[in-house]
Amino acid sequence: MIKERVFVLDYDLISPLGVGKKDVWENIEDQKSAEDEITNFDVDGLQIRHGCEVKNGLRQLYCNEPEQLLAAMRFDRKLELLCAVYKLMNDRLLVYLEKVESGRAGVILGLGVDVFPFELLDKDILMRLGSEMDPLLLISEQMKTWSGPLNLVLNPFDMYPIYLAEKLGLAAFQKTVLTACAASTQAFILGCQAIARREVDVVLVGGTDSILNLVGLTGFSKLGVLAESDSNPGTSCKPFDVNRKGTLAGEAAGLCLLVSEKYLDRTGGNPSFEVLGHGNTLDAYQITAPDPEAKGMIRAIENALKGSGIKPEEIDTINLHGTGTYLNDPAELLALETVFGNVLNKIPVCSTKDRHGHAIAAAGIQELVVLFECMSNNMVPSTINLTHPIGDSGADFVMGTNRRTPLNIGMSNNFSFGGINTSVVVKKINQ
Amino acid sequence: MSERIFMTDYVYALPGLPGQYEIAKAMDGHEAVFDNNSESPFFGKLDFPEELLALIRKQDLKSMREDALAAGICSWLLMNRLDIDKDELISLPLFVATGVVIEKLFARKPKVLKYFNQALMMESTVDKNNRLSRILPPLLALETLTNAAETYAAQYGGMAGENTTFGGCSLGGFYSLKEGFDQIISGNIGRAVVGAVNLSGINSYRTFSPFFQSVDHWHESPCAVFMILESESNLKARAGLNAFELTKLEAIPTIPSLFEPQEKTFRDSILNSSSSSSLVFSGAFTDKAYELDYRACTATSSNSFSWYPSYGNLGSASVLMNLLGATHFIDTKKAETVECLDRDPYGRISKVRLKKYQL
Repeated sequence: MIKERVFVLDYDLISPLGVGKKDVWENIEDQKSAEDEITNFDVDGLQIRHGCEVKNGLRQLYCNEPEQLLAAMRFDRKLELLCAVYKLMNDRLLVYLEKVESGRAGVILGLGVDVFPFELLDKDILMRLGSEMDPLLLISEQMKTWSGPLNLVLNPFDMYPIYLAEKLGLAAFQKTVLTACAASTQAFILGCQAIARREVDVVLVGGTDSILNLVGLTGFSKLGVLAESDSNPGTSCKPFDVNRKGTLAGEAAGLCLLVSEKYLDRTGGNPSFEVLGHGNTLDAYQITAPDPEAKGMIRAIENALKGSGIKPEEIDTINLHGTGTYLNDPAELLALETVFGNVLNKIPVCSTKDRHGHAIAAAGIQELVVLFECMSNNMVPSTINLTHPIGDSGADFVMGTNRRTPLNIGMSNNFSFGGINTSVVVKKINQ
Repeated sequence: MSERIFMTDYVYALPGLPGQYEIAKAMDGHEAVFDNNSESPFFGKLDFPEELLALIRKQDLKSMREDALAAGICSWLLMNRLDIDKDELISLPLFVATGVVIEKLFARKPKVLKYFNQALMMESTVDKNNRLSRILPPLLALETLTNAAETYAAQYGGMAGENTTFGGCSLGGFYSLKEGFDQIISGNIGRAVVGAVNLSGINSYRTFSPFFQSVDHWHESPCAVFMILESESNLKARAGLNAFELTKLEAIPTIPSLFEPQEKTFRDSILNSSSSSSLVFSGAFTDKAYELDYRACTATSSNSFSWYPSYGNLGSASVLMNLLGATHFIDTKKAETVECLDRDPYGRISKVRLKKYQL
């Protein structure tokens, strides 16, 4: 139950669709897909060759960071993406945060698993294979040339929110959320709850993740959730389509500054959205698949609506999780049919994963930012690879071209491996 | 006046104590799982008897890490003895803390090491990638799933309400406790489940040992602990008696540094601010750090306890295991309140105060 009202004061995104929210918006408006041959590392010999990479140069954004951090970024894409998005927002955040005590400001980030960069360190591993010690242990010990909690490889999860806390003076808490595809949505929800119960006035929330590495790509490929790469980049992932065959590997980092009404009253800031409600539930079903009856998804969406105090028909658009996998999409559609019933055909819905890929722990923040931008511009993006929708629900999937329509209240859904279900409802504040 | 919150039940698993014992067994009847001559780094190991492993689906066992398996078993044991109806279960919150999620790839699987060796020596990228992708385990994404402990806890315990998994060190355990506490206070619910798991092992050592200058005699053990938090009104309604009140939950506001050395022990100001005569403390990963903590804590309170001498550091599970230690103190040493202190690898300190339930 939200007590103190929660507002979105600012946000930004590093996405395969662009560096910064303006770039992202322009590419969404232009119907661009970021799917392409992966260049982060050599994918010759792998079954999956396509993904959605952030290709624009990020280094110019963070080149003034300390040497240790730059060294760690060579092996840690999540850290690089996070530093880049922080730098995009740096000046704005410093202005907002100078108006709040550090003990009343916290940070919560959704993060993906840290993997050892075999593709970057293969020669280093080979050199150490003869040793009695674990070669990975030797590398992490021998290659780090400084003291302190920042490692060169195998960085602990907490390091990422601590990086932001140290930059911005966020002392109340530095939390790390590890719930895979729902992680950054849960970070957003937990941030809202901390403000609602008046624990803090300001929370910086978001997430960073990349599965565009040898271990990530192979791991998800072997699980059968990645679409085989089409010869024509841009068409592999087909959310909610009868011909869907999997999702598209991606990466992203996004941040969003949540503030209380009290903070706004005191500082006179101009928020762009109010968070009306959220839902966060478990399937308690099984780790490998969503509950086919979608009970957890249904409760998450219902809770978000209930907390918002609005009726289903008041939702103007929904940015769906829509992974393009065999199991997720029918379960999500069933949840929508159950909650929205006969008003579902009046709400334009879309999934944008076919454009920017699945950023796993950063999926939630990426798709919230996409929703914010689309609502600000009164446009529902099309699901570009959807031509033959599954089911006969009559859901109003936006296909073919983007649709211009007034958007005041929007919903974003994310569901995770292991049956974690999240839904957020936001309302645009007309300036 | 806000609702009083109590811890009313728990299940834990430690090396040698697989999930079926009162905490007294761990505190009084235990032997150290390591001694000072043991190898360094040292990690304990969780073992479960057949009758507990039989609770878990064979299909799940294929992809379960040690901590995730322990989470499934502890959650099943805890919820199996809880009198709860289906309506409450589907809205029962579950907050979990986890440590590292990658097991000992090379150390535990020598065959993998051999195949890696062969793959890495291949000249062409096509051959190398092909080989590497073939030898990576088919369930790798599930084996390294960061929310595996939470998911298995929910699957085997049935909780399906508000939830998350916090990472990745001991303060995560405090955050999960605090979130469960706050959910009861603000969510109009009577109970919440909070838990924590620590995988420990070589990857945990790889991750955290570079923080410290001296890592001789590094000791860490795997652990899982799940507990029920309950509101006073709920407790009274079911006439429950065996309860411990959480009278204080505080994480000292701190901005840690990624580039500066961390605190080596508890500051006097932290210790002196305690109003309890008894202390349970955690934070050390090495014998040397434990000695510093022990001296600082016993100087403040003669009734001090740490799990370190028996199990080493319990990582993400430290904060919740400290509470279990505190319950034993209250029961056997007649302490009125016990202060539980934890210092995470970044020097962030949390304090939780536990008090015997009095009507």
